Amino acid sequence: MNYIRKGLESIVTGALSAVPTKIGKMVRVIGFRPLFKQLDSSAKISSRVRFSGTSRISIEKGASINQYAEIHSGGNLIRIRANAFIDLGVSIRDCGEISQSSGIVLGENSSLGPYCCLAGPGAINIGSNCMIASHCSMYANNHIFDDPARPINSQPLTTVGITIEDDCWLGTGVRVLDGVTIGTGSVIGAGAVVSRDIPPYSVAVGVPARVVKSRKEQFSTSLNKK
Amino acid sequence: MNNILDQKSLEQRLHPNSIWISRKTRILTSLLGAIPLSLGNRLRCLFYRSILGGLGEGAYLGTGLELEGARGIFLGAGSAVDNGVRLNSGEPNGRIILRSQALLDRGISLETLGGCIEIGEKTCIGSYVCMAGPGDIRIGKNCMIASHVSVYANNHIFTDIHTPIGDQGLSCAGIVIEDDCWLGTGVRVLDGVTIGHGSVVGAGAVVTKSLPPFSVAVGVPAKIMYKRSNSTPKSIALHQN
Repeated sequence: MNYIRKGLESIVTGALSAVPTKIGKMVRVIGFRPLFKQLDSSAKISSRVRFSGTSRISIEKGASINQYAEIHSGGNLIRIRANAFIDLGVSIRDCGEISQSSGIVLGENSSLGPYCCLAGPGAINIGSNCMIASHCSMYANNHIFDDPARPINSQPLTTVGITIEDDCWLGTGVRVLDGVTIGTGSVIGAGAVVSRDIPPYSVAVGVPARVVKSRKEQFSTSLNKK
Repeated sequence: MNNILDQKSLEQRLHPNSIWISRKTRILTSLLGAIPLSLGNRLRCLFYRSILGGLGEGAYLGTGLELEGARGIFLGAGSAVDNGVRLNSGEPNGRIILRSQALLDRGISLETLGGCIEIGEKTCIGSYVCMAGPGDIRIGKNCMIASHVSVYANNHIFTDIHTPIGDQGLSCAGIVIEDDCWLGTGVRVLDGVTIGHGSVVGAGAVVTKSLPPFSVAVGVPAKIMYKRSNSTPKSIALHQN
């Protein structure tokens, strides 16, 4: 039964993904609806987008996904919330153990720029109104490599999870590592590698990312000047 | 010599945004966009000429080419655009100009957001490079820009903590990369930067400030290591030791 379902999913998503333009978007919304956990009629799925595990993918009102993106669920829920925007070539993969707290969520009005890569198996929660620029990577896993006698790929993974709270701006090429929480309203400079939690309203840059100023202090300074 | 980009021909070709042109673009790209090999290229060159602002002789157009605002896109003689490239000129004012023999590798995304992105003669841009306006981006001749580079001529304003950052507008000074520059893989170039001619930027560097000509700069943020000169190049000096 599982094989039949998977086969049907491949055929339907593959065939309908080739239909271009607005006609394709309409056809996909109609044709995909029975396969997906949730697919709102106002969602816009461009051509050449690849899906697997559609029964665990939920795409909400007004969300849009550009060409060549890939969304693969291997067990946990992937939720693209209302008016979220996924740009060209983004890769979202969750291939983890099934867990209620895991899964990948892209919050309302948030956007992922071209060629971002998000992967589980830990949970990735992106809040609302976040802007994540091109080429960012968020990997909610780390390889354990303590034993030099065994190949690293046979040793376990950490799967703590990544949280990016509301209204964050991540510049181009930011890398967010497993276990990190980026607080509300933070700005992460281009090319930074975030290996530790960032408090809310911070501006952090560099490799590894270090907080260089607080938006709150800057804001109250500018108010005092007026 | 047929210069497709002289001022007069530019003015003749540009006209206000037209729904018919964008429909025609969608129809042509849907029908011809996926045809592979040289047959696809010939058909695309033949038919896209009528929708693009300009298409020079001997241009190569790969599959999956996504065009928005095609009237503002000018591809010079001998230029090549590989598969899966997105060119969005943001009409009515935006322009994407590829000078002769410029090469765009696969998966590149150029979005002007109303500005101008100009790529000089014989410049090669690597795979998955993303460039966006609205500031102007001008890249000179003979440049080599490696894969996964980002060039963003914009910055979000975020002074107000009570308003979402996305609602606070952008600053956009523009970016200039002068002739004969080499940007390594994964370099990030931020708004307002001018990279002087003959400069080399190391892989993964984040260029936050302008670089004088002949600089060799690396790191996050990019710092100048030395200036290229006619005395023995450091790379050769190292090998001799």
